Amino acid sequence: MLKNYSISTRLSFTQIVSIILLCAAFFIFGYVNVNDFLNRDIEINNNTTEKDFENLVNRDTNTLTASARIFTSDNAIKSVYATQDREALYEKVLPLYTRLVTNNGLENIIFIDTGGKVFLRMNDKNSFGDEITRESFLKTQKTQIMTSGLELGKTVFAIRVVAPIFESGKLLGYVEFSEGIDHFVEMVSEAESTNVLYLAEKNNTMESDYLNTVGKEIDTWDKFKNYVIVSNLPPIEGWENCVNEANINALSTGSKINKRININGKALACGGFPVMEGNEISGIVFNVKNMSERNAIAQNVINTLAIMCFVSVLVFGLALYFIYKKFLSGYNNLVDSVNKISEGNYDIKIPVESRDEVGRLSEAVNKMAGEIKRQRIDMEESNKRLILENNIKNEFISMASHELLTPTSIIEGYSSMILDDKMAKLDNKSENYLSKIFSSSKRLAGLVKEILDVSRIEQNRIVIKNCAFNLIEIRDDIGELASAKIKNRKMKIKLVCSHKEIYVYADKDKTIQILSNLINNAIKYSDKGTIEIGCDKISFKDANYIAVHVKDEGIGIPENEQKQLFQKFFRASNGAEKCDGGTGLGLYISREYARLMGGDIKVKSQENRGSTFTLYLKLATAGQIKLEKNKSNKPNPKLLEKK
Amino acid sequence: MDENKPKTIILAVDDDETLLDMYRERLEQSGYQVVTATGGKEAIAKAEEYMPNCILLDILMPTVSGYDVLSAVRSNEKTKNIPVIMLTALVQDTHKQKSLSEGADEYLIKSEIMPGEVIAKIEDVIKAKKGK
Repeated sequence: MLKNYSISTRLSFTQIVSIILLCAAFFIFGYVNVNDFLNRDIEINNNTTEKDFENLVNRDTNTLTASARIFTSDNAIKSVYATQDREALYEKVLPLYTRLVTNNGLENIIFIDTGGKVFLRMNDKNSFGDEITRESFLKTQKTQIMTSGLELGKTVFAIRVVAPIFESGKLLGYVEFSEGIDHFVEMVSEAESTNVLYLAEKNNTMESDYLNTVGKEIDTWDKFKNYVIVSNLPPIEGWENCVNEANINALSTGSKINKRININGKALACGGFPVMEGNEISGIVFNVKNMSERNAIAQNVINTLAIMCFVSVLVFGLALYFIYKKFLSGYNNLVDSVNKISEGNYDIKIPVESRDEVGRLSEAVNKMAGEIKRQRIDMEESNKRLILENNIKNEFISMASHELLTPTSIIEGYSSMILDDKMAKLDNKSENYLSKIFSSSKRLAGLVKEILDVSRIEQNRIVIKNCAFNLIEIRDDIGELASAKIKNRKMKIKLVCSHKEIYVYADKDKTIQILSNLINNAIKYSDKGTIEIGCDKISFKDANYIAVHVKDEGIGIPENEQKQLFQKFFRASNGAEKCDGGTGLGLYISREYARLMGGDIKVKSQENRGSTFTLYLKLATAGQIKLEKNKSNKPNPKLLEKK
Repeated sequence: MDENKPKTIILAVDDDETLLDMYRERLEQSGYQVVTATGGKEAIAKAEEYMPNCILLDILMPTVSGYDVLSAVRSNEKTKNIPVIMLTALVQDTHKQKSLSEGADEYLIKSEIMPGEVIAKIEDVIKAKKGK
């Protein structure tokens, strides 16, 4: 039987691994691409629309560290630059601003790096000469700016990037990126001018006094409307109001801001700066991070990825499932069918649904089953024919034997009648001849009966009627029979059995037949000596037996022939001349009967020393003996009728 | 045997006439009156006609078997008490069982028993019937 269905589990394991790998690949691919999309630098120029900018704002600003937006008075976007790369920002923003200043005639421009430390310098002659004009600023090289230093009070600020602020063609000030932020407060207080810089950073060590100042000044926003406000402020209370009061468009994004304000219903993280035009604030660039949208987008992206993964798992899984199901159902059908065929059901036709391996295999199996069936039928037919022929043969033997018995019995009958007839007055010769006729016909009848027995054994028509009976009871019958046989020979028969009763569970008639046969053989193949008949109780395989042995001191059986002894028509080679027409069926019949009764016959023999045949019979159990005794105690209606 | 005494009648039934002759001879030697039948039908008729003291009955006979004869004899009110001895070539125990259970009084196997011994059995059977 094929029991190997484990292939289905193996496949589903493969399936799972494939799906996991596929999903992982899918996810990584998606993540990389989305991230790449989110992080890509976008340059927005004069043609950039508000929508583009919105898209920009909506990008992931964790890595988008800076952005800038320029508004004109009509709120059109002039230019925006955003990048995640601070260095790139520095490189690009300055020329951009310079260009903006040039091209758009904007005079008040602020650049802010929201991630850096920013402050505004006013009319600082130290950095750009006595008169910093538009022209002079434009001429300023980035490298110079980058290397400029500023001394303010006693502290030297490293100026990193500068953006100019113009008013009516005159530079009012500029934004610097500096690392000397610790001294900013000092600088502001020194300025004492209407041009005020606000700058703060959450993690900075700014004094609370300054923060208070900031708050105050913001509260009076109007006063500062001409001022440039640069801020990376941590959002503080009132900031939002200030923005609203100033009617400023708050856009753009920033980083490192961990508070949020709400503008137009959107949660925004913010910082920012205004853009001045003339003396008016034309706008503020806020570093605003629309957290919710960003988060929503990120969530969207993640959701999308998750859905895509799920869908791919589903699609791929289903595809695999159906492929394997189809394959496996074919395969399992095949296995079932092969099992059925092996159980003998050759009419199974496996449906061939495909031209794949399973399909071809199915075809082959169908063909094989057909072939087996055909051969099986042939075999069965010839078997039936053989059985029939054998039955006819056995029937013939049976009938022939019966028919033989009647004439044989007539020969016996007449010869016995003459021999018995005292009036017949036969001479010795005639009487001798007649005796031979009589004994030969008797032997003939015996042979016919043996052949009948064999034919019935072969047709399984032997009826064994086992019952419990005392073996000692048949001792006399057997002894009489044996004594009659050895009448004229120098032989002795010795019965060795100490038991008074031995109840065996066997067929009484058959037992007599077997023992007679064994004793006849013992006599037949001995010239002299003693024939010992004895019995011993033995146990074998949880059952109790009686072993009845018939031991002679005759010619024995050659060792190499002992195994064939119980075969039909076998006769030991050394006994050929002894054999007075025996059929070689006696031992075969005896052993068949013994086995049918649940016993057996064994032989031990040594050539020229004698043989011992042992008949094993089952001992009757107490229950069987009781049953038998009860039966015989009951009055037999037939016997009553007869008496 | 007393000549005047009505003879004991034996009905011998067998399809083999030689065998019948043999038994007739041996039985007549012993003073029996022998009636023979070579078929079942004839046997049934003669059983009623002669009312024998004993029937020697073969089993294997063409058309009407010994079993048929036995059941016919046993079912006929007139003949049902006639002792029947089966004398047959059938050595199997099953036939012996069947015969005895269907009302045969004795089952003898041809070739195992000599005509002389059959007479002893006949006498036993008749005695047993009378004694009842």
